[in-house]
Amino acid sequence: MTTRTLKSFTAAMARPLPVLILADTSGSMSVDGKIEALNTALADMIDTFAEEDEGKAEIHVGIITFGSAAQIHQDPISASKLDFQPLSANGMTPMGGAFDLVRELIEDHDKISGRAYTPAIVLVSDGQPNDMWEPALDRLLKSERALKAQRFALGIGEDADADVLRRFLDNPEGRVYGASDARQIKMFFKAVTMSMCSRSRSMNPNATMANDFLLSDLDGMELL
Amino acid sequence: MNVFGTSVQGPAHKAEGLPNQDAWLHAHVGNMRVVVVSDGMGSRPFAREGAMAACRATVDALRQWRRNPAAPPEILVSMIHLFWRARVAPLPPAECACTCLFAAADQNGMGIVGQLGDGLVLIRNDTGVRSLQNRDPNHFSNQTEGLGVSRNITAWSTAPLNTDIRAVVLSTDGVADDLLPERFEDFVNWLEKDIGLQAPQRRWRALATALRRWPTPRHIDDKTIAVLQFSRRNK
Repeated sequence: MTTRTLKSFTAAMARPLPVLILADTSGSMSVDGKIEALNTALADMIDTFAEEDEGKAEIHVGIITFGSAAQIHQDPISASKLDFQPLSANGMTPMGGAFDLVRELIEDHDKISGRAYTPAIVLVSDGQPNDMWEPALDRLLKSERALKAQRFALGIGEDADADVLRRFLDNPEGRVYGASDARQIKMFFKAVTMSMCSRSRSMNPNATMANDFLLSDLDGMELL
Repeated sequence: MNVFGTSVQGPAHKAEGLPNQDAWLHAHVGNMRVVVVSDGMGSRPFAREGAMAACRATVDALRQWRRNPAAPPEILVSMIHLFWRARVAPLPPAECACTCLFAAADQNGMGIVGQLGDGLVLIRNDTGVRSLQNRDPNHFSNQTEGLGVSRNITAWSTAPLNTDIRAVVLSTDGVADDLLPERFEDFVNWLEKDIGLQAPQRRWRALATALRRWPTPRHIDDKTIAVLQFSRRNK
């Protein structure tokens, strides 16, 4: 009787741990199998999150793409309910638009509630932004809510703009990883996946400092 | 006046063989009844000690403050910080960090409530139920102010209690973060009627059972509720 009553006062869902992907889908991602590797890596990550049932949080995934336009490809949703639609690559690199979209997403309490654990943002790009990205990044880094997010960055190939990625991390100890091939893209996402699962299983899933990355998994990956 | 409450170990601490890091206490201070709850911050090594000290330090501070309740609440919360630091010494305060929520009132309902850090203070008076603190819109789960985090007294919320008070409910974030805000009033009704009207031993058992069988999936935290309930005949 008591438990049945309590159910009507309490949240029916576990606390979410949002993982927000900012994926470069510019035309250059269509060469050398980069977009295919990214799709495979994202699909594997989502599958692992969906099967993660030991965690204290329910991992939610949202995907923002920036190519022909910056747009929300997938609103944050429990990985177990996400039907991943592969990304396609064309257009330029409107990264600033993606920064604004992720900021708006994090500030939207209907999409990421106060019950959520601190979100993680994963930025992946193979080139230089071609829009007004600096004021957008500034807005992101000044947003009190978005500022709390854990941030990861991966540059793909030689044309990735390490300076932009480093400024996105906004942390002297933050590491910008570089991937030169499909295998390393998958390795990076595997490490992100393990890091998120580790957070979800930890005593405090907000404690991001100690487990930012499982560095041993990224041995051999160039730091940009 | 009816005072009751309980605290149960959460699944995370149970699985890791760690004790409950919440604490609660009720006490008489002069003609006032006092309830305090505290949530020791999980990442701090002496969080449990800090939470227990917070409950006692609040009673210590109220003993001094009641001599002149006209003194501003800032004096009271400053004393809580001071007595808490004295109680946790020689441990470093940062390693004992914890929240602190309290209510103190006499038979007529005159008194004070206060909150530092997350958790929830619900106040029922003749016109309805309100929470002491509006949730910080930039808040995410498990991020909090507390004793041992800062000594900034502006981080506290306090409010006077008056004769129209019917109940005060204090809860730590293991309870508060999973409660639906639109159902706060029903939650207080449940505590007042379904739980509060039972005999003390049955009341304690019913509340502890409810907290152990917490319905939100994958809940992890220790859970504590304390209630100060005023009988209608005193109104």
